[in-house]
Amino acid sequence: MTSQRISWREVAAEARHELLSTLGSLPLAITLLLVIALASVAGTVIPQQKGIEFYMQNYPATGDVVLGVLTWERLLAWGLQDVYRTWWYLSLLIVFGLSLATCSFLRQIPMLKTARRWKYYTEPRQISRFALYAELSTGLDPVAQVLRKKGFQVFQEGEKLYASRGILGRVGPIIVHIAIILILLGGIAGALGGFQTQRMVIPGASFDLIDPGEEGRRPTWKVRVDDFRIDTRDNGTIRQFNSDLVIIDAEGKELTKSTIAVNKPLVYDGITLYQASWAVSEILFRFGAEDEWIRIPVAPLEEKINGQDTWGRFIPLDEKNKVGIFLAANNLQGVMAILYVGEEPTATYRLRPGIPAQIGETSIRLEVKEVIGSTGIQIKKDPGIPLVYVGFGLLMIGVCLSYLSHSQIWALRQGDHVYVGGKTNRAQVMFEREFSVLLARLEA
Amino acid sequence: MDNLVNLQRALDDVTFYVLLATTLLYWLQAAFKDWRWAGETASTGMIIATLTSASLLSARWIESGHPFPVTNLYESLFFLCWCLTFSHLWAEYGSRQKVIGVFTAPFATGLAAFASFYLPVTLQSATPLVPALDSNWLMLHVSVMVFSYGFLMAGSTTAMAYLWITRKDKSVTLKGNSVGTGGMRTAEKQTTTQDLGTGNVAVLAPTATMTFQASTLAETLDNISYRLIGLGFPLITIGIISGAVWANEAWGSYWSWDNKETWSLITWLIFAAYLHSRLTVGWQGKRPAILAVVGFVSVWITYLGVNFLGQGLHSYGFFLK
Repeated sequence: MTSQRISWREVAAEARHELLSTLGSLPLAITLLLVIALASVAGTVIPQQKGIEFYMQNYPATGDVVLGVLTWERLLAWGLQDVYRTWWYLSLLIVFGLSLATCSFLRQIPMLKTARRWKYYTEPRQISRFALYAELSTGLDPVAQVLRKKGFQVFQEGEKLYASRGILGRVGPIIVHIAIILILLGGIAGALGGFQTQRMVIPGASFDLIDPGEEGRRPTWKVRVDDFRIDTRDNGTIRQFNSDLVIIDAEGKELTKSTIAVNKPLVYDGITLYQASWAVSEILFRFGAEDEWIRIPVAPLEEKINGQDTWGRFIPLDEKNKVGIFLAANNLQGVMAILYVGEEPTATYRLRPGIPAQIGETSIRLEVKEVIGSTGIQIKKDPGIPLVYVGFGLLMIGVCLSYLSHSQIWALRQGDHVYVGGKTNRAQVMFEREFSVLLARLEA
Repeated sequence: MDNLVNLQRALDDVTFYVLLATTLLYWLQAAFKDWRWAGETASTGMIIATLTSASLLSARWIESGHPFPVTNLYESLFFLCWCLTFSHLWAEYGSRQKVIGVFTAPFATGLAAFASFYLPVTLQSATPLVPALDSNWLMLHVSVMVFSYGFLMAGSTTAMAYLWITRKDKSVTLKGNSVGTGGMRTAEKQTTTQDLGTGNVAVLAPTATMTFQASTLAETLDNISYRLIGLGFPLITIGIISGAVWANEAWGSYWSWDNKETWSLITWLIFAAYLHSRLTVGWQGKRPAILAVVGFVSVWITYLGVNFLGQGLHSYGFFLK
């Protein structure tokens, strides 16, 4: 007697089968959905992408340890300062994608095949098994007629009838799964083949997109900013931000011109330029009426004026007595000048461009010529966008189709009796009501 | 103009008081089963509240001249209140069950109370839009999102009603799911509704020719809850996608893990888990309903909580990122 051995090929086949059936299983899908949800919560509770000092201060290693375990060292080691870019979050998404794909092929498509397959029933007892079941004394034709009116596809053969409506409701979930896979792939394509960067530019200056680390992937053309304007309404609130952009080649030749605004970007050469932000960058002023204009850069302040971001700079006038003027601006229309004497603010003045002012008892003349803004431009290339958009489109179609309930009705005539029974997969209550209305109509 | 403002004030008060009375009536009818008038009056109250909140929004629409009246928290609260009362009526009509109101009405009342009493007057007045929000996308994105919140909330409150009705039962099998298990005759129908006294057949009593095994009250509530969430889910999907497309067109990124974005995704994931849980044999019974309640909390955090947590693209009245 010779003993048999299981070949490695069979072992591998079983392993593959086990892996795929686990990957495509519902409990795994539900667990993944909930684990991704929970991981995402972490990223909204813990402030993301802050400096290390922030975490050292708010998540101390001794004393009041958050939740008893979450010290700043652990937080950083687990990547909780940037949850959505950690290896484990991205791995979850990849497993999620694989689970979706496996489920579609292993479960959904075979299930759709089963649902599309139907047969006539030939025995009343087969029909009487349905919770919704009735015996009628009408013929089969009225049943078919009423069902057709209700949007059913009716198949009839002699004494037997089958009707179906909403089979698209069984296609919907498959489309949803494929759509999500496309969106995930689009996200990967965008992360690998695209780039995103911001520039703060003062009108008159130009910038290029060449990045030494990524040669060949970025264009050689440049962008010149001709002007930056803020449109305001009569009440002073901001209506729109506009930047006049000119795309120029290496020799400075103008290739195209466009004014971009919020919600109105420029697309050139597969790259999109967005109006994303702005800042006050310089103040042009002078003291004496005959002086040269002084151009000083300003920096963002922690304090806000009227709840708006504000930029400013301190100008020392008399080092010994600590006298100076603080210039601050939160728009391009004017400047706030605060006179400091011995570290204390003594007076505040609002200055409009072109109107000189006398500052305090020191009688300093101050004249602002212009508040110069810089425009914040977001530059982006994302080759994954077409894939993501197709995914979005399919996802919307798929979820809507998934609302449809697949209803099936069988009927059989034997002698004077017509046996009618049916079921639906989603909308039981509405189907029950429809079924009973239908029967009432046939009875009448 | 002043007339419109006065009209709004009146409508906003009326909506609140009607909803408050409606809540009490739904509770009364649940406590005293033979007080049918309470249930009937409550349903009328819901219809009135739906109409008054719709009128309130219309009045603001005319006053502001925006293409859409939902531009700040006050308007958004009343719009959600309208969506919730509307989807409640849908659920009540679909199931013919008043018990849903026990759970929907107090939340609708809370929304109206929050908008008219808690919000400072400065936040109530209509304000011009900041540039980033001044887009046709706003109408699509906001209205679909709030609509989805309304349906998801009503679906979850119906699930609460289901849990309430079945609180004494150990296990209940569900019928509605995309596979289509159920629909077959059960040997002994579980009756879970004796304590309600209004009869355990929710839809139609069997007639002579129909040997009809209709859904019990619990099954009806469960199925209506499933259908409401089933309607809210495509809506929240379309809402999130419209936001993503808008963000991509306006400032170059379809997803930036902004807190509100992330929470809408969390809500979406929870309800996706809910829909899948109905397919699992091991997960049948009350677990899907409990997931729906978890989803309910998540909808509230997405809608309001995030705005109180911090700023981002979605804090109402933000400047520009």
